[in-house]
Amino acid sequence: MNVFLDILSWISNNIFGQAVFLIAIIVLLGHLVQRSSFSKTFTGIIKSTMGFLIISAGAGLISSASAMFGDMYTIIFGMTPDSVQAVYGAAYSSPIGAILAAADALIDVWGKWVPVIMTCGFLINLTIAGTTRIKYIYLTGHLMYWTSFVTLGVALTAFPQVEAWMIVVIISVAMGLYWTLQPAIMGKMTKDVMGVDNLGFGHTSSSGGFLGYWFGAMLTKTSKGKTFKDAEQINLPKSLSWLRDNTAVTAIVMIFLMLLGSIIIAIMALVNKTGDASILVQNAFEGMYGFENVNIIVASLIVAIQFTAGIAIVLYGVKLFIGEIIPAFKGISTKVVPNAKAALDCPIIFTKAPNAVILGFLGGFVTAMLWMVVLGFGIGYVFLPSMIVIFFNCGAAGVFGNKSGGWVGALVAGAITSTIVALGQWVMFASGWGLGTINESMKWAADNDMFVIMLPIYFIFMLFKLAIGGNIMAAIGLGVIGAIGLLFMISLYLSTYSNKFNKIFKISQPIKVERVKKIKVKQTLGANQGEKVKIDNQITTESENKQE
Amino acid sequence: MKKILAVCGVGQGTSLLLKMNIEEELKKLGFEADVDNTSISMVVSETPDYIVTNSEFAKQLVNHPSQIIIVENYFDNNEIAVALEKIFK
Repeated sequence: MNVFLDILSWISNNIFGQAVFLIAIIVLLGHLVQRSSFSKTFTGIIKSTMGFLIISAGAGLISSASAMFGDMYTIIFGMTPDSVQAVYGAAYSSPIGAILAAADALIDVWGKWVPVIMTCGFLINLTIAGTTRIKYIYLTGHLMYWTSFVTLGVALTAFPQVEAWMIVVIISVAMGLYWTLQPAIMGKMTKDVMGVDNLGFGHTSSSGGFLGYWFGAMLTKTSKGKTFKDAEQINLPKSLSWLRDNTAVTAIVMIFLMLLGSIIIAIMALVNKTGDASILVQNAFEGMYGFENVNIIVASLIVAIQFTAGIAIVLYGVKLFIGEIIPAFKGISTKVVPNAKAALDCPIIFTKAPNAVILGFLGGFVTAMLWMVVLGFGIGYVFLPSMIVIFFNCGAAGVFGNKSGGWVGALVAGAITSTIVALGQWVMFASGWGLGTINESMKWAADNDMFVIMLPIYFIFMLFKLAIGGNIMAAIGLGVIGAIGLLFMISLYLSTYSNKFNKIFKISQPIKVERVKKIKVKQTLGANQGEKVKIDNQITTESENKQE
Repeated sequence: MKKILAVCGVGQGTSLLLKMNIEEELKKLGFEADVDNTSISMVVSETPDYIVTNSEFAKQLVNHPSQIIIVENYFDNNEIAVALEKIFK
């Protein structure tokens, strides 16, 4: 009998305790469902498990690089980072080790539950789509991954003694609901943007897009018939198209911010030879950021590129891992719910309004820089403007804002999105509720909807902690606040499907402006010859008294 | 076995769906190919037989040795089928 128990515990420690085997099992099941060939199944398992290990490696690079960014700007904004608490020249207590340990612990110890949460969440999504009128299946795989991961970190922060089953059950349900409802909440607006109703918009930028669309509609409403030009009618310079290459944008922005920071620090160190800045320069020179005997300005340049490299590595790892899971999800969903609508990544709407994407990004970028200064000098929080989040989320919001409020709507939607990201980052990372467990390595990945979901998740796990700790009154109080928040979200959801809301805010569909659409001649030789074709202007006025 | 790469900005969600749609259409058309997805930054260092992407990204691949197949709407299977048929027939 004892031998049997030993065998069981060996299996649970060595097989189910290891992320790679859990992922392998899930990917294997996926390929069995798809009836893939043996070779495809085998390479799929290798790729996905490898992807998971690659993510760990990339996260380490990002952590150490963003630690330098944080240290420098903390000093510039007039505070003392932990890394320079030590005396000048003495051995410093490197915070990087601690950050890396935290990131690794999260990825190695808890990361294995992410694919399980994804799978359970998908099954909940599938069940709801199969049994109710909401027909969306969420297929934006990398965001399924990140949203599960970030909320997992929040749960751990709220309740460090949490059990694995609690995490899997609660977060899976939360994710399943979110993945079902988010495309539904954006349904009407997506239809307005796309012109068709056979696809959904499944992306964590939706809260910014939602607000941007309403703001644009208000703008059009209050401008007394004087509508702003559609972004697509504005001739943006062709030279802006490189902004779509995210690696380049991330690298350029990081290089700029890091060089700016290190030059200011170097000047501060010259002015005050015993201050924090001097200690940081000395620590950097002694190899605190991995480059010994190198001046801080040179080190900052290398670290900026290292940060970008880290992100590229993580993205590659996620790609390998997601590439095996999502086709299985899609295969299952088309079999089980044949009339389902796929909720897809934001580039589905990018194609409809490429100029609005750029405008949304620019609006978001400028706002992000403003927030960096305001949060920095105001409360000493170093906001990390993640270019991937800023580009995709602000770009997507820009498309929605442009649809209802023209080019001004696009700019403002980007600004709103950036603001949610900046304030969300501060609230979740720095205001004491922080994501202590995932810290720096996840800062660049958290975005709009994630911040919205984090709050209820945080509340739920806080309740557990208080209830188990015997603090019943606090638990009840928190429960009431949580319920109010939940009611608010439900009412928001209802509002998109109810005309009363529109009546209260006196919002009607803005009249669409005449637009010139480019229709590309398809070629197979890279270069393109576009020709402009005028499309009849479609004037759609939605009747406000449509049946719900 | 021909190699096809589906390309988008980050090489994550969109190019994965494009890859899945390409595989689906190839199956319907009865062609065989090895399809993978990647980002615009990565594809520069790879030389598959074909790159499938939209005209925005194609502009950045003007001197790329691979043959470029333009598909504007990654989610429009008909467009993908038409583009693939031109190449493979």
